[in-house]
Amino acid sequence: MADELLVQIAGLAVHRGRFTLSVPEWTVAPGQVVGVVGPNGAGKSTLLELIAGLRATDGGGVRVFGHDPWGDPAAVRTALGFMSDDLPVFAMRIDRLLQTLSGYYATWDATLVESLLERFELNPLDKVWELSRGQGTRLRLITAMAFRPQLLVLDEPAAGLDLAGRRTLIESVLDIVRNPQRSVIVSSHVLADIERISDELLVLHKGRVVRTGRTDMLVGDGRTLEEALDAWGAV
Amino acid sequence: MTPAVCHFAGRVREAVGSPRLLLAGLACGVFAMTLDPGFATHLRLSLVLKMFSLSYIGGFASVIGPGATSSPGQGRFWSTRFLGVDTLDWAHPPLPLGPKSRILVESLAAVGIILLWRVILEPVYLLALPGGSSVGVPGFLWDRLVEACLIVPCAVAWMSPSRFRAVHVIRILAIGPLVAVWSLFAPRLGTWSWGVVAVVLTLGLLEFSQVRLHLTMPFRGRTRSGALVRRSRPPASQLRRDLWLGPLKNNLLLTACTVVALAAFAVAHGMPKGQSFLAGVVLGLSGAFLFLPLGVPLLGRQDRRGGTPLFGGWFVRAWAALPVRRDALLRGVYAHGLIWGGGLSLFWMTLPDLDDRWLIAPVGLAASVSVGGALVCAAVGDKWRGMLSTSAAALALGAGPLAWGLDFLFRVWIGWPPVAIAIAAIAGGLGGLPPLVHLVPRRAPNT
Repeated sequence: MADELLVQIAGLAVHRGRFTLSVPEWTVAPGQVVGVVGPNGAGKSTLLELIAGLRATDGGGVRVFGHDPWGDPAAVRTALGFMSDDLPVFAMRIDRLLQTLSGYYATWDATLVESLLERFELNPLDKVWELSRGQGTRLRLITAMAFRPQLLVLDEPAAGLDLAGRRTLIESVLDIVRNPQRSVIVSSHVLADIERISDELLVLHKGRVVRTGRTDMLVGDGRTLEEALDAWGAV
Repeated sequence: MTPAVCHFAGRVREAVGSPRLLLAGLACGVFAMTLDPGFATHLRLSLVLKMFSLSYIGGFASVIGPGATSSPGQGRFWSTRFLGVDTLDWAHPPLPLGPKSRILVESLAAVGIILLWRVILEPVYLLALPGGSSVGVPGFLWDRLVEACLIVPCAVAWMSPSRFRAVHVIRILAIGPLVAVWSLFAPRLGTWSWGVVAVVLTLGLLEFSQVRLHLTMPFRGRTRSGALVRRSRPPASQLRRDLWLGPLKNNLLLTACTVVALAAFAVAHGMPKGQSFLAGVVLGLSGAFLFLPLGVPLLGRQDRRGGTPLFGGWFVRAWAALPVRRDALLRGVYAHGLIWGGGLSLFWMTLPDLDDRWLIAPVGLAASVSVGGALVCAAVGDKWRGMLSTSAAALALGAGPLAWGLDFLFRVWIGWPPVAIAIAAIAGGLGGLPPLVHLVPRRAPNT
């Protein structure tokens, strides 16, 4: 079972100034949509960057597909798509950007890219620096999903997206997890979306894990995720 | 028929079917013949053909006359639409091409038709008329090649819309002298015309680079999936490949044009052809390596958000989600700096009549490592080390004049050459060593 887990975290500790992120134990199995929620400064982005190998830990271990994402980023990122609104993309035309990226992934799916471009209403002849914020977010989503990653990590994917964009995003995420071998980890402040799509939840507050488990079990009947977070003091 | 075929067929019909253009071409031809009444008949006929050909360019550009599609109207003669600003978005069927590709394709199509016309029809006159055969087939074809080299950049510059009206007015004023050069001199002046080609080529490129995509050209064609994908390789192998080919592939046109322009200028100024071509190639290619490591722009913002464009660290962050090692990426960027420094040194070495050639090696080495360090710092966003490396590179490049100045002022007892080498060495150490901290592979604490 442990070999099948996509993400395994044990005794994780990260110090950044006075902030400390501490996750004693957490795993992500295939075929799940995992929502990471919590207020600003809870450590959501830090955790996702650790999983993607963009940041080192100060203690404990993170294994993704059985590899150390910081020490062996190439092995992890060939099957991990990471999207963050903070990460810039190459300053070139969209079609050339996608062509450049495609060379690094054996599983790049040009047909999927074409359909995503149409769904997200992006013109491949546009230049990256001429895009609006929302269009930039859409482009980042496409680059993260284009190679059909086994694990898709989305950090605030709805930032800057309009309603149509959010709908397309949710449809795309649900498309991905139709394959039982693939999972999505998504952090967002749009709680309604998280509640709608996530099978599992990880609730963080001030760097500590407040709750973790199945969404329907944690939230319970008759209340929303927002009300649940209120009740746990994680707002 | 595909939209592209329909489009170009329509353009040919516009050019042929516009009586204004044909009359203008005829008038220009008659005027040109009056410049030298002693012209042989076949040369007169040749001139008329050239002027007819020019009318084709006018038709293709839709600037001199918009053909059968519509008319600009009397009061709008100087309007931006009539001057070409809006022509790309005007009365054309949708094509899955960007404005620049469209301009290039239309220019090549226009010049192709001109050449076809001249290569087929002119030999008939040349061979039929007394003295016409003395040119010979190789000479005739060489003349056509020179002509094409001159007229392609002219056509590109002419068809490129600019945001500034003044540019269009200047173009209209400049077309007369250009036509005179083309029709009267270019095919017969051989080497001299290469200098003109280089000038026009540079102007054409400048104009071409001004084309903006914000001309409202919505993408109305379907994307070809092939355009969005390339053959994938293992990430480390792909990175190595992009390190060498990326700067050239993603900037091939500009690099090639720079090489040709530099070589043409150098030949025109008396440098041996082989040497000047080598110099042009080296400098053009190494320039591409400097600004486009892996084919991706190193400097400048990667999107609309703020931040300093010089040492913002956008480059490394843009690569962060890809399956490549950061240290391998930065080593490649450092190597690009070394390539540029090496290219610059080689360029200097090819210059004739250069004194103190021995100084090139130490100065070039110091400048190379400093520029490599500056590139790495720009890539990761290390402002202070980057400024140090940039200053050190400037110091290394100025080591010779600085040492000479010190010797002139203070009469250094060992002479200025050793001082220059010492300055270059210090600059190389200051500029090249500190950024090396970014090239060290990261340890793996997550175990």
